[in-house]
Amino acid sequence: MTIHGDPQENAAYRPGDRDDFDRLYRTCYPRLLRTIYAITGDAASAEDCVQEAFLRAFKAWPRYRPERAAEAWIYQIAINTAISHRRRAKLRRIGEVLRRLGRPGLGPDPADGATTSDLIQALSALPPRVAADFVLRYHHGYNNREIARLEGVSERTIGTRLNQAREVLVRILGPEWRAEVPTSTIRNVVVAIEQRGVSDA
Amino acid sequence: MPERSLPEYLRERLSAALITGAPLRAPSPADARYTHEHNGPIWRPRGRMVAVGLAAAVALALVAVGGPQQPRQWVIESVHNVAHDVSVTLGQGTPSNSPASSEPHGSPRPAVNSPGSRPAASGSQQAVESPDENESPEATPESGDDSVEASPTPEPDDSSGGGDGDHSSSGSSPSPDN
Repeated sequence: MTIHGDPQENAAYRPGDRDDFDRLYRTCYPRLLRTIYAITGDAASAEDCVQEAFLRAFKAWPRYRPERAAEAWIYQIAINTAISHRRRAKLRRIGEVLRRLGRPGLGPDPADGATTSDLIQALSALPPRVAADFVLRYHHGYNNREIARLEGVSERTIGTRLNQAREVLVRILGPEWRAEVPTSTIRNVVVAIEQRGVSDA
Repeated sequence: MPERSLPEYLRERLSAALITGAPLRAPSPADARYTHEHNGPIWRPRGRMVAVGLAAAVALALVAVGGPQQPRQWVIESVHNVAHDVSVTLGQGTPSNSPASSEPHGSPRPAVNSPGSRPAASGSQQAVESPDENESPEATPESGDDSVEASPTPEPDDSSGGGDGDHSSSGSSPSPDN
């Protein structure tokens, strides 16, 4: 799995070629969907954004320059689409709040809490690129260098964003997101605590 | 600031949340939006423009061929003048032809005035077609307009004759009040 691909693989993507674009779609769609989902916090919106991103990319596909990794290219388009989507959604929410001024509030939609986990809600509260980097790093398994090359920023920037994400998640979800010890050690500690509690009782 | 690694169980929780929240269907390019919508927005405006252009051309042709006398003549003259302007513009782009270009600009002016000449023709036709009914109502407003229009032309003479006249008139009006 390469996020920015080898030069040979990128050379295989021919600008304007329909088959190559279909291959790019099959390759990148799953990763983009999950990444954008972390930004929007809504699966339907994420799918809409990714489809819109591929539509934009397809229109620009004849002008695609093979010097740049095709996956990085489509990734940037998708991230920009998601950012625009989030901005529009925020404006819609502000408009709804203004319309509801003076009326009794409806409160949060119960369906939102039922379908979206706390973790996804917390991720969608992060800045879009921070959330995307977090998912790329800890879900898709890319290292900081790959993410930095993908986004055209420094590795230091990626590290800062990941730490920022961790801090926000700690604030929203609890201190367990501060943990950085190996899983086996944590499990041993938990088991030891539980056993001590049982023996005390 | 070194980046801290995320424990495995938190990674698993993250993956579970992402996979559960955004279940992935097998991505098929046949179902992708770009497959269905790409040709649409580009083709529709073209088709619409062609349809509107054809409808306008047909309407013009119908009016020019089968319409009443005056609109037909007006349409023919307008089309002729536009075509003439276009041909002059395209054919005489050099500045040396500027005197010649002044002529074509002069020639369309009668065309611009040709609608103006149409009322004269229409007036004559109306006079022929309905001498009694149409002329008498039209003649009174026109005569009224003429009388109204005739009054401003002497007014400069009066004003040139003296603002005193105005003052005298304005002065005469308060005088009855006084």
